[in-house]
Amino acid sequence: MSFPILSIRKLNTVFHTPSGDVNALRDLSLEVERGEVLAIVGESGSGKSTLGFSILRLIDSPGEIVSGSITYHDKDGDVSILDLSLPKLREFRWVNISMIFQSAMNVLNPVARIERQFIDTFEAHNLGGDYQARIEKYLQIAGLGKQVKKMYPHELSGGMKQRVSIALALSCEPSVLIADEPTTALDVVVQKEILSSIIKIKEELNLTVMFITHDLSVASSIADRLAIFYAGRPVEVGSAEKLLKSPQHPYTAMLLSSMISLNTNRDAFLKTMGGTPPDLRKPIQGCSFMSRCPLAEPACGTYDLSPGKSYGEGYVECIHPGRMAREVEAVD
Amino acid sequence: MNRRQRAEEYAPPPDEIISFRNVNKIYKSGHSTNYAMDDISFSITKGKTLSIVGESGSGKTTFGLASLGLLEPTSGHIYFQGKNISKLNKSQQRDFRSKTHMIFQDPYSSLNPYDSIFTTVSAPLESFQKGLSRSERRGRAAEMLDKVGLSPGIEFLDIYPKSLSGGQRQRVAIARSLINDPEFVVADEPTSMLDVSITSTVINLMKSLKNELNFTMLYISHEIATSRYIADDMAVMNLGRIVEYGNPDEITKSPKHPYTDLLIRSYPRAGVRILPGEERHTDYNVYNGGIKGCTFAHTCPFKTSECETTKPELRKISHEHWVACFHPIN
Ligand SMILES: Nc1ncnc2c1ncn2[C@@H]1O[C@H](COP(=O)(O)OP(=O)(O)OP(=O)(O)O)[C@@H](O)[C@H]1O
Ligand SMILES: Nc1ncnc2c1ncn2[C@@H]1O[C@H](COP(=O)(O)OP(=O)(O)OP(=O)(O)O)[C@@H](O)[C@H]1O
Ligand SMILES: [Mg+2]
Ligand SMILES: [Mg+2]
Repeated sequence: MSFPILSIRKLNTVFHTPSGDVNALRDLSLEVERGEVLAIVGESGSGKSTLGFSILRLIDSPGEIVSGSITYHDKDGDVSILDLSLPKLREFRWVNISMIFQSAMNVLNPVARIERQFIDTFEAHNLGGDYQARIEKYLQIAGLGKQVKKMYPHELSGGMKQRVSIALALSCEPSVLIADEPTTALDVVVQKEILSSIIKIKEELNLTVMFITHDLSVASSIADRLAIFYAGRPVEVGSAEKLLKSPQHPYTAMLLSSMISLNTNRDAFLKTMGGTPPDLRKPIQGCSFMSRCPLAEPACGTYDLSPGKSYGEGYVECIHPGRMAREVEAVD
Repeated sequence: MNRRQRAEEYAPPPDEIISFRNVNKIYKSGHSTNYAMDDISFSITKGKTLSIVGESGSGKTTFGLASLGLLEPTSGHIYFQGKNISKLNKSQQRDFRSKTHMIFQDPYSSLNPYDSIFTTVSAPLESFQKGLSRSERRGRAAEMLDKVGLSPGIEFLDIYPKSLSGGQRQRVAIARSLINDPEFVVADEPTSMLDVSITSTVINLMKSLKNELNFTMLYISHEIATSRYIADDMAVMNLGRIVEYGNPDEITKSPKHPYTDLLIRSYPRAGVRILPGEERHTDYNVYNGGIKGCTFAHTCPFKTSECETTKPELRKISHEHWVACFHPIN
């Protein structure tokens, strides 16, 4: 049984550029379960941020959502996000789904006190009630003292600014939080503090979290499920535990084996992954990872991505799932 | 370590290439005083890769820039092969410049977009080996590009950075830094802008070139696992001081300084779940500037009154391990 809070179906988001249309999301389907932490993991350019922006309909020109559907399963019925009128969208956004933006700490208005930035958000969404109490509550949840209200962004460290962005994103009490690389610019110590806060907040507020990162270690240390993105689609989705133990897609297996850890053998060379992701301006036939895959064979070029796939537990987009991991094991 | 100050010149021990003696770098702005380097006395071993790790703002870049003479310390002396780098005459300065090089973090801004790859890579030859003809320089540049894995090098000479990926650009930067056979190279976060899959390739490359060409490298990064992997020696910085130094495996497997221990424990490990409420709320900004005792005393679970009044010096605690702490973890 699954109880999704978000269902994304056959979503296509395109950026119209002078050198051609970039197909940033290609027929993407994905389900986000109520109350889970789902990590979206992938290399630069795989479409992670574009997915976040698409869910909130924040894709601006030259970008465009060209087809597909995004359904938010509210307690009192389904909301089709892509069909909302602009005023309805404004009411919907932030209150139901909010986002911490990539490099969010640079998004804060440098000339406004922190409290002003909260009040602007509340006013934009016509929220009533005691603003000051609300600000203090969410600053505290994000691990900040109330004195921060009166401060300007330049008076805060990177980690504190990141916490302010988290507090801002939570302050309209959404059900879903999309966190786009919320700790990438930070040091490990602060990173761990923030990840730990996010987990705590998630439990306290009963949130669903979509956590976007390029770092598989970070993802697997906080997520219930992982969605491995490659060239605008998830190529593997599954429980974090299973995926680490027995990756089914060759890309996942290679990502795992090229991870550097504190136990990496210093006397051997690091394992690497050759090649580059495909050009998203050109149509991709069959498996998008084919050009870099050691297991590629002609049949991969005609692999049919569209019909009859399960996007829940244990989704993998490969004609020989599991083989890579088995072979790596055999060699080791 | 001999802490006596020697202003001009001395005969360095055979295995020493760079030496810092009581070096300070102090930034003042408004009310705050920032010790980017706080009385650092430290030597870099010739022919080794030393990695410096530490949180943002701990002074890693400042240390790297100072070691190349690209930043003037507020006080103290820095020696390259026994010569005080702030007291070099013109020709010694030229010699120093020709033997040292820096690789920067951002491969997108560190290459001039209007210079061809040949112009970029051969720039050090142009400056320091005036005798070479253009075709000799082209030959050397192509050879160096081959070495960094851009092959055939000759086909990369006449293209421009815009047609290269981030990983390829960083290879160009590495080729430029090594073309004049430097003795000392500083790499400041050379892979932090690159994807995981490209990072491994660049790290492998730097490690194998280092073994082949035998220079000394200072590798600066806050990424501990990569730093451990590439280095022969590791130094940990905290608020302008080097608090631990030694063999990278020893430091990462059994850190002695409580600060290093915190760094290592915070490192994300695949599959090890982070629990709610593991937080420690620190505001480093509060503690910046002129700390009398240990820079970590404010957070340290083991602190005693001594830690707040006396500066702990680096001392040897085992064959390949030094720590600046009164109560090292055992
Ligand atoms: N405004 C834009 N104009 C043109 N192309 C864009 C734009 N924004 C994104 N793209 C393209 O869409 C694709 C997906 O980009 P996206 O930012 O979603 O990747 P990402 O996975 O978030 O990468 P990163 O890890 O670097 O943040 C890339 O090919 C990118 O170049
Ligand atoms: N030009 C400057 N003016 C004022 N303060 C400076 C300047 N450069 C560095 N600092 C301060 O000196 C300290 C050390 O900075 P440095 O850049 O060396 O740190 P770092 O360890 O390299 O950090 P990061 O990991 O963020 O690169 C910081 O507190 C920084 O704010
Ligand atoms: Mg992104
Ligand atoms: Mg730095």
